[in-house]
Amino acid sequence: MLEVVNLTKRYGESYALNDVSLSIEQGTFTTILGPSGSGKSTLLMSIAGFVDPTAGDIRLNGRSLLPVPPERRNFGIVFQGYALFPHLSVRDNVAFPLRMRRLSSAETERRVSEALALVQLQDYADRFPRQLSGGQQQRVALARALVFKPALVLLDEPLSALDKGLREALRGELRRLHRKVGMTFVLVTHDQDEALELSDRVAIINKGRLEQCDDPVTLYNAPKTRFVAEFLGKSNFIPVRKLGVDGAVVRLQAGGVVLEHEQAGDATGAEAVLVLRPERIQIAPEGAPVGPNAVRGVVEETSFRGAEISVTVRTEIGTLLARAPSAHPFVRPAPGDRVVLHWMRKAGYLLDSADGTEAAGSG
Amino acid sequence: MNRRFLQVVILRGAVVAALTYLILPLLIILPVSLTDQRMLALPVNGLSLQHYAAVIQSEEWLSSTWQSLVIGIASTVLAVVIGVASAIGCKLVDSGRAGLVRILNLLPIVIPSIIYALGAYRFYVEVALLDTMAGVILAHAVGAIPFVFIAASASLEQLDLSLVRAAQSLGAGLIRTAIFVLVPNMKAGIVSGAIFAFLHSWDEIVVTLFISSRTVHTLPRKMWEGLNENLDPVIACVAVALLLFTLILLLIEQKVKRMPPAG
Repeated sequence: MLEVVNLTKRYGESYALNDVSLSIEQGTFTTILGPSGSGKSTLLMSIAGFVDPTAGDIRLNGRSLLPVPPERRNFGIVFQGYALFPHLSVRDNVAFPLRMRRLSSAETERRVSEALALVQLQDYADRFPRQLSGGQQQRVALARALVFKPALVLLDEPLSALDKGLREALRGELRRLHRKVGMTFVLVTHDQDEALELSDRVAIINKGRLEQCDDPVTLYNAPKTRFVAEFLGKSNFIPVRKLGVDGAVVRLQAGGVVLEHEQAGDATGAEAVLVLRPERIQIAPEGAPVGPNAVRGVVEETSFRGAEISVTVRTEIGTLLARAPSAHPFVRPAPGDRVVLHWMRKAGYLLDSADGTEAAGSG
Repeated sequence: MNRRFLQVVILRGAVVAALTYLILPLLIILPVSLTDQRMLALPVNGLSLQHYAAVIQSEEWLSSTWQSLVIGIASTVLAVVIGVASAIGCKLVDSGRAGLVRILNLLPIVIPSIIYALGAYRFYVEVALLDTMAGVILAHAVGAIPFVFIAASASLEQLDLSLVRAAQSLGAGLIRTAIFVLVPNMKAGIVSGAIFAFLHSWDEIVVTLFISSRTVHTLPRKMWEGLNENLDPVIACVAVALLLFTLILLLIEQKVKRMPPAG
């Protein structure tokens, strides 16, 4: 198990990492997600040993890694630009870590062909990196990072240099590989889809601080801060005041409307923010029979996005964004249409106002 | 159309004039080396290869050539090892001390050679290196380090530094990273630096004059003495040979520079 304990990295007055604690279980796929400049790469490079933290500790199975130089940590790293050795063939690139470990040449050969087979590049062993496409180079980098059976595989935005189609194909391949080799993977990315799709757990970093570390479903459905909610897809943020609790149901006052909400272990303060994902909001024509949470409004803008339609509605409690499958029976709402937006009691997630405003203030 | 034609003519004319100005003084030694006279002068009655024959038969000239070659190669090896190691160190170590090493490596081309010669002379008296091969090799190596350092640094500049981190993550310490990853990717810079280092030694005269006397007499030194003493046309022959040799080395350098980094 890898533990990051109160890790801090300061450059002069500014913090690249501020008191980050995180633990990563053996064999899992963990993603460190954050916008650029959030400190996510600093965190990865600290784990790799290329950045000396100002304070805190990094432990592998209980032993501190700080005194261990990068070449002795035994971590496989896939770098952003792959960092393949241009003077070595694919075979020699993959053999490099084995030669550094002075493995016998028979064992080296066996493991290299095994690793190349794993990434389906057996036929490219004699090529040089410059003769390969971006996706192939990426797979060589993966093979090279896996071939010496490292204790941990670190991937620094490995897919960011590829175009969209290839990126998605390689995402699938990465997941397949992780399942097959069963090693611990730690991925750094700024792409939330990549994080949600690949990971067992996602750690969201912002401004050097850990915002939340959870499995993707919890992160999406129960964000702890406004930043997390905003970073993982679009959300509506409705400022509300608590009116009272009625069994499992909390009654909330939003503008002139009373909403009902249900949530396990909800926020404590009287002032709160209701986070509502656009796809959880239903759109109905005005006058249609609807449930408890219904607000009336006028459609301001619609945009067709293939599988779904985004609809911006000016309502009595503020402007809300809703998303409906484009095959929805209430066909295409048009700007100017009067509609009713409604949602189920468990559709939203209540955040303490403090969490909401703090993250909002920091952008 | 016409205007453009005029521009081309003027440009070409200027290029030819500049090249002529640069090269003509060098080419003058060619006819001089073929002179039929017994002093350093243009041929009068016809061309002759007699002075070339004299060079080849002269034990003194041959031994000078041999010495120059040995000194050139030895000082180049020394300068390459020190220059390349310094360049790698300066690139990898990110601290004030790297700046200091950088300055140290460039110092030999900053200090006038006559000053260095004087210093080397005084120092060599103390350590008994005066008029020894080792002494001249050391002095030439020092003078050649900047050429290697600059060429090696330039080729490192083009290298992606994540290669270093990659090598380390794969289990190579700093020394193995330098040997197995950096040096092979700096080939062009190292060869180019080595050629310039050799050329530096090959025609070095100022420092050599100070620190050598009887035992060591490199080609430039021998030519210098020949010019001082008797204006022997043999010197022109040697000069032509030197020129050709230098030209070949520079051509190799150009060729190496264009090679792709791998293979």
